[in-house]
Amino acid sequence: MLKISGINVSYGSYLALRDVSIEVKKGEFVVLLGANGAGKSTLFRTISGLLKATGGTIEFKGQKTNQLPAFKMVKLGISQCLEGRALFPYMSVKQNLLLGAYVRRHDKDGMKKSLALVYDLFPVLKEKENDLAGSLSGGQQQMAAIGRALMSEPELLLLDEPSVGLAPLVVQQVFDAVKLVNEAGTTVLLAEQNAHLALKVSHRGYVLENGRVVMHDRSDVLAGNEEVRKAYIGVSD
Amino acid sequence: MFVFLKKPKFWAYLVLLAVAIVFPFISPNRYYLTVVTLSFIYAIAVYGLNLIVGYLGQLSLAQAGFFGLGAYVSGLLSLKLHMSFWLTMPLAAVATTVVALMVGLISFRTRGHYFVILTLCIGVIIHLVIEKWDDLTGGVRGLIGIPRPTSIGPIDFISLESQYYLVLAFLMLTIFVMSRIASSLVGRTFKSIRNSEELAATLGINVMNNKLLAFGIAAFFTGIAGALFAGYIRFIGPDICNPNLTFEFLLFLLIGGQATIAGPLVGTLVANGLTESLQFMQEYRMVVFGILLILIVRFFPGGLAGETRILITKLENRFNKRKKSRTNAPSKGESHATKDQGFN
Repeated sequence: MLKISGINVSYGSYLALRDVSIEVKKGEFVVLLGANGAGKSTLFRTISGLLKATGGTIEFKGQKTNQLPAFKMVKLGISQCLEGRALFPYMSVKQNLLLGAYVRRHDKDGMKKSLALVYDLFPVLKEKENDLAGSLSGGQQQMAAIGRALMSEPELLLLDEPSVGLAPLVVQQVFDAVKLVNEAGTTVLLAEQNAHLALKVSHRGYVLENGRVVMHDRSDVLAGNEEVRKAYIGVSD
Repeated sequence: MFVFLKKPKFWAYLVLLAVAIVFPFISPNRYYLTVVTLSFIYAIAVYGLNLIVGYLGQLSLAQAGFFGLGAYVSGLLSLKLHMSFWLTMPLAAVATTVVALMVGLISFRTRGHYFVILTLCIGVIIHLVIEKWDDLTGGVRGLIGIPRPTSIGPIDFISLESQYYLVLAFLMLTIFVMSRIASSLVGRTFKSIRNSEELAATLGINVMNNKLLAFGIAAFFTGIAGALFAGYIRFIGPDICNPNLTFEFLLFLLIGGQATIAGPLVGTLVANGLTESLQFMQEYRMVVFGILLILIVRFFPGGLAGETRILITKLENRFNKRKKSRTNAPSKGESHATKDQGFN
């Protein structure tokens, strides 16, 4: 579904991604592991069109999308949930969610259906639908951000470090919800530092270091890999 | 149906409208009537500025240029081609919109301070073109003897009162359109761009097109305001597109409260009222405004309308809390009342 072949991305003279190739098949749950500054967010921003690759190709559903602006990618079926629970703090939770369905704003019935699905997934959002998004707790904000990304009915969901700054229990909750979304048919690409949980829920994983893919394999294999355990899980038994 | 009859807001608007309608009869002299009519004309332009600064979050300093453009297009068409006001005004609005869209296509490629500087330059350029194009615009002498708005059937616009009502009608139209925009998805799209362009883009919002839309709507109303000004004052000089006027519009907006529906009107009326009552100080009255502006930006960033709304929300919350503790029934109104405070 998504095929990235040999892309380079640079900020000025600094090369943030070198020759990165990644493939995500329909229905898969793929995790992208990497430390701070490894290039996870850069890769996501390039896929969603916020950054332009200087070399290589990005193909989505067989169509080359390198040069498309970010707002068109949403219509094609890629929805990105930006890092850091970026919400509109002075709008209500419901208004935030409805803005997520911006590309299908004329499909009122479909929007209602999606809203019901998101409320099913995160019941707490239904309770708080009229509250200002800025008044939610960290975990609820992350749920709202993921919910909003789902409102466009994406085929591919990009989640950029949803676990940052959340309590372990809430992280588990969020990951369980994402797994449900994936099982319902949405392809998921997740960027994470929390390898332990991420490798448990995902099918395959890529490890990104200094802007390069250094390893990729099935998640259970990666979870058993000594180097991965040392670098991202922190236990080597 | 008719639920609006139960809303206190609806009745407040009705009372305000009634005051506006009877104002010519209770106004002690014609001078006040003129001041208020002019304030209404300016307010229409400030509503345009509010859409760009308040909702879209982009500081455009080209607004006086658009105001002047509207006035000159309307004035020139009626003077040179003897067209009726009812033709020149829409044409002025359309011409202003077209110019604004071209300006927007270029200037929205920049962001932040660069956008501000670029639009200021465009305002200056419009001013210079109008001042120097002597053959067409009459240069510094301006246009003299612009005809009044032509009468529609039995209704003429000769008396000050009738012109007041004409301007009031357009002001109401502006407020109606702006409040519809503010409460619609379009308004929320503008606000989302103000919040974060990147985030808006990842939701599938075409940031450039929406910026152009806001800029175009704003220019349309600014053009209408310019045409009304030309038909009311009947003499226009290049001074009306001086960038100084842009800063006055901005002052009105900040006093009234950006990203509010009442703000532009309140701010324009208050500031113009102050200007008139400080007439004896001549140019020194700007000192008063300077201090006032600093105080507002520092202590009341929401402006008169914005701060009033925050106050009402706080009182409502306190009231709800008291009611809740008295009846001991679960109420969810508490946090609801804080929603959509509008600015930022």
